[in-house]
Amino acid sequence: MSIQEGVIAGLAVLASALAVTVFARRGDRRADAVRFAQLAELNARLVVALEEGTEAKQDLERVVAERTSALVQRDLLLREVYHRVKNNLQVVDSLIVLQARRLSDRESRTALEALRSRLFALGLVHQQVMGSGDLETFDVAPFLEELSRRLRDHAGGGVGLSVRAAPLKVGLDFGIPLGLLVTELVNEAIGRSGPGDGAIEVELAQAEAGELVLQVREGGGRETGAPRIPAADPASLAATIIEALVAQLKGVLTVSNGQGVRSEVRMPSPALS
Amino acid sequence: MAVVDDEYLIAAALSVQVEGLGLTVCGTAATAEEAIALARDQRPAVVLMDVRLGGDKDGVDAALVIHATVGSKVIFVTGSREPATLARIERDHAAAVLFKPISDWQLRDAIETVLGA
Repeated sequence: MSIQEGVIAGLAVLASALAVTVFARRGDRRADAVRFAQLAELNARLVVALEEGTEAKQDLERVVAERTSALVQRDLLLREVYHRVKNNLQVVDSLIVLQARRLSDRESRTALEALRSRLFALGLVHQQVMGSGDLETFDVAPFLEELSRRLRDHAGGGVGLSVRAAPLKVGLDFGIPLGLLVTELVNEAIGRSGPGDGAIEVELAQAEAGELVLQVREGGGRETGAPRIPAADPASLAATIIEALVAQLKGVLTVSNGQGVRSEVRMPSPALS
Repeated sequence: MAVVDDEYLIAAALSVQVEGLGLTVCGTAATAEEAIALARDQRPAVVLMDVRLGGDKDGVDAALVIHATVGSKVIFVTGSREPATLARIERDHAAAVLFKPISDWQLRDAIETVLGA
């Protein structure tokens, strides 16, 4: 029997005992004494039940306090881990910069710069989780906006950029491959764009039936209809990375080459656990 | 130009990037105190300043002192987007704010803007 049930049962017995007492014939001292003893016992049981209730409440408060402090501790530790991860990525980035200065050929240095932008995407994902309330999920829209803008700024040269992304909460499992995929597609688009070209467009939209569509389009427009550099050379590192990430995201990639290259990835929307 | 970062490899990489732009790095520092001493000693035109530093004081504290005593332009270099940090930088005569990692192009742009201003 729970404490509440005990209290209720006790009160019920008490009420009936009082009723019996009121209707009892006066002068029946023996019956009064019995009633009195019963009431005293009920009273004692109620006192015990109330004490137990107070104790239980204190226990509960103690448990809540412990859990709250454990959660605060967890948040602190997670923040610290994310900070360390980010810091380590920055140290790796610095090592790449130092290595790049030792290389004389342009191709190697360009390859290392591309590595830096991939590391940057990883770091930016961690920054998003660090800034989120639950330290687990973040909105993909501002992330894609910032990632694309920073990739464009990193490359220099002032190519136009427009980013349209539907708000969508994602975790690290989805955010990391998506961020790396967008990095490849945007860097490819930047690499193919020249001065005077239209803006690069990045779009992430919810399609029907839990499907997401990511599109990266070049503005094109240098010479309308002129043959463009084709999408990622199948033998390139970018193509290998894109293929792996699309597979990880269980997506399908379509590349069309019209006025500018347009890459589209259709993938299932992530299910947050 | 002075470079301040408590991660020595990050300071080394930033120095290499600055020198790649044809500028001279007069020294690096890892704490606010070291940064202030370096700035007083070398009087750099520009200081690249990390916000989180080892020790009691951070880059914002160091920048306040350097700006007041030496008058160097301070470009903050931070890995953090925390609003509290950004608000502190805002109040601190920041000539520019760059977010790590920094490309050569961004660095050149920031330094040219600061020196041209």
